[in-house]
This record gives sequence, C-alpha cells and structure tokens, in this order.
Amino acid sequence: MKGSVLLFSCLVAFLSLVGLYEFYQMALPGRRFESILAILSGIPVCLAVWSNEFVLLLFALTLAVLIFSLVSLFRIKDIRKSAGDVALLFLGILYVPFLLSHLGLIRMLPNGIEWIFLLLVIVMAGDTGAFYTGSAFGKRKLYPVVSPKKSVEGSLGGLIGSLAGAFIARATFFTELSVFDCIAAALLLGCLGQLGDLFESMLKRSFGVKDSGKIIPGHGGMLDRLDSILFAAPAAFFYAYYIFIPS
Amino acid sequence: MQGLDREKLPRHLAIIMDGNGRWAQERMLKRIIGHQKGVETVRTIVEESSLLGIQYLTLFAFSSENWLRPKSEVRSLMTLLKKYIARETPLLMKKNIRFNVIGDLEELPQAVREAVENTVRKTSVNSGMVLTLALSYGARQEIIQAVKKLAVDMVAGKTDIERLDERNFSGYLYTADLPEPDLLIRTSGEMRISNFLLWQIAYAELYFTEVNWPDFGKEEFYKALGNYQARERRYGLTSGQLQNRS
Repeated sequence: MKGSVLLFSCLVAFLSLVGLYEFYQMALPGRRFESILAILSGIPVCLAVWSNEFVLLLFALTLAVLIFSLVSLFRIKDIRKSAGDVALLFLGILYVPFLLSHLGLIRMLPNGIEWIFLLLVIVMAGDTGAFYTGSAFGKRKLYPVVSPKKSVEGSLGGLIGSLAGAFIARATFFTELSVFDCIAAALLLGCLGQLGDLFESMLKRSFGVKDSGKIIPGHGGMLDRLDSILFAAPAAFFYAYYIFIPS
Repeated sequence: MQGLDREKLPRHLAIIMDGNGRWAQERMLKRIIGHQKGVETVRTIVEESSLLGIQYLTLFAFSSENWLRPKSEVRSLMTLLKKYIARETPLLMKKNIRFNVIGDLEELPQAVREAVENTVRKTSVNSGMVLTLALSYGARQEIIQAVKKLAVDMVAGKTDIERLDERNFSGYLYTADLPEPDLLIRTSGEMRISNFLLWQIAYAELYFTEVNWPDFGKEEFYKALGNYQARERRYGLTSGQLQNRS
C-alpha cells in the first residue's frame, strides 16, 4: 500500500512537471533561466501535498513568491513587461502542480482509488461523447473566440457521455455511489472538465501556439491531455470530502 | 506467507484499533475521514486473518467511554458502523466468517443494534473465523455484569461458592465462547490497555506499534505476527519446564 502511494505521487509529480514545462515554453518562450527556476519551484509544491503538511505547502508557495519576485527584480529585460512575466510564473505554479496535486489528496481519501478512476471515466467519457455528438450533430458554435470547432451539441453530448460513464462506474467498480452522487459528480466534473479544456484553449490562443507541446505525437502536448483533469480533480476531491463521505 | 509459521499463529488475536482521528488530524482532514479509512483497514485485516487461518479475531471498535466523545463524532461513528455491518455481510458469508459482538448492546441506537443482530443471525451458520466486534464495551463493566449474573445464579441455587473458579467465572463474561487472546495489538503508539478484555489477557502477548490504524496494512500486520512468533510464551514457567512439557 505504502509503495503504491509513493509511486502514484511520483506519477502525479512527473505529469505536473512536464505540464509546467510546457506551460512555460508557451508563456515565456526564450526565457530558459526563469522557466527552469519555475519548474524547480514546482517540486516543493508537489512534495508538500504528498507529505500532507500544511506548513510545508505554505513554505513552498512562499518560496515561489520570493524566488519569482527576486528573479524578475534582477533580470529585467523589458521593465514594462516585468510585472506580466512574474504573474505568468505564478500562474504556472497555481495552474498546473497546485491543481493537479488534488489527485494526491483524492488518493488518500476512503475509496480514493475509486474516486480517481471515476474522475478519469467521467472526463474521458465526456470527451468521447462530445467528439461523436459534435461530429454528427454539431451546428451551433459553443464559444468560437476560444475554440472554433466546438459546438453546443457536442458539449451536451459530452455531459451525456459523462453521465453514462458515472453510471457505468457505479455498476462496476464503485458500487458505493448513490444515483444522486452519479448525477452530481458527472455534471460537476463533466462541466468543469469542459471548462478546463476551454481555458487551456484560451491560454494557447493568448500565447499564439497550436499545441501545448509534442510529447505524444499526433495528440499535442501533456497539457492538452491534462486540461480537463486540472479543473475537474479539485472538484472531485471537494465533492468526496464534503458531500460523499459525510453522508 | 512471507516467513510466517502457520503452526504458530495466534489462535485468538485481539486488536485495539487506535489512531483514526490522529491520522486524519495529522493530515488536516476531518476525523470522520480517519474512521472511514480505518474501516478499509478493518476489511484488510479481517481478510488477511481469515486467509491465514486465525480462528478468532476480536476488534475493539467502540468503548463504553467513547460515548463521551463529541455528539457529532459518536453519531457519525454509529452511521459508519451500521453501514459497515450491512455492507460487509455478504463478504463475511463468502469468507465463511461468523460475526459476533461483545459489549453493552442495549446502549446502541436501535438501528445499529438491529443491523448487528441481523448479521450475527445470518452468519451463525458459518464455520470459519469468528470475528468479534467489541461495541460499547468496557472490561470492568463486563466483570461487574458477570458478578451480577453469578450472584443471581447463586441466589437461585444454580451454583454455589465452592464451585467458583477461573473457568467457571469466565463462563459469565461476554467472551464465554471465546478462548483467551494469545496476542493483543494496539496501534498508534499508545501503551495502554484502556479497559479492554482485562480478565482475558492475563497471559496474552502485547504488541504496540507507532503506526496509526488507517496505515496498519498487510505489511505491518505480518510484522506484528512475525514478532509474536519470535517470542517464547512461558505462562509463568521456566524455559526448561516448557521444553519438558512439549
């Protein structure tokens, strides 16, 4: 048991750091030193979450604030951009390792493993549902400024896919879920997953890139894979913690 | 079996499951999360014990004194208990485990008592390991109620003072049908017995571990059993006498 927790934490940390690397490649292209430093600052954040020590998390975030501030103070390139650059450094830490580390928290909860699989099933079934309904019936544009290919129909199909995924999970590996839990979790995590996807598209457009990276050939980068999970994982944790477990 | 000697396993293993709340608080989580996590450990240990061939497993789940905990914690513990018992019954049937309870059941909420009684009845046909939950249990209370029953029997003429001995008295305890524990484990670093099976543990080996109950997995369990097997149990005799006996 202990071993598998460690292994899982390492996996989450690995995904976080690759995601973070891609984020800085997009956000601060050509600023190698800052990017490397920012990635190194992401490591204590990952560590703090597995150690479950609140003080360590505080330390990791404080360290990041100070390091980023000092780096921007003494490595000015264009002073009018300095504030924006330091904000991007913070955003990367908060957006990738901080959000993703909720996976580690979920793992710790009762039924933690089931919750992680439920999260993955809801997000993936949502993606699949959205893709097929969107391709077949997509007419009305969902949010063309951010993502021209997505349709309202696809988005609804995604939620239906998420619902189906949740009920399949309930019927197979997660029998403790109530019908209410299935519907609530599918809608909550399904919606947030889609919003996470849109948010990442917005980031890419804002940075002027197409894929976040090229870690998986033909599938874009790690962040393109993680975007939905980044928003849905915290919701899964808080739902399990505040609603599922006390009932 | 990882180096354990099947012949030298404790026949009766008793565990004080301590440290659920502490486990949660160390992680800045609500105490009930610790109790839920503890339920997962119970499942693991019950399965492992039955697999190993331990005949009696007794778990201290809720003491007479635990009623004094904050009301909300008691309430959620009771809900958890009811849910656990209902959910585990099919598994107990499948593993041929007989479910048993000791303690002052009158104190339990009606719904919990019914769930307990149901499962005891349903699993009474099983012939495998006997799993005993100590609920609303206190060893001194147990001894007092034994003395009361004994007194009633004496007044009624069913027994007399001449016949009273250790064996006879044991029959008045909640644990009348159980052998005495061979090994008592307590988790989470506390080195107390806390009013658990005081009469019965006279010659039990004691094992304490720093690990909190939610972290007491298969590995820690085997470690405790290995430690027990390495000990020499003498029951007040010398080593030499023991060797002559066997």
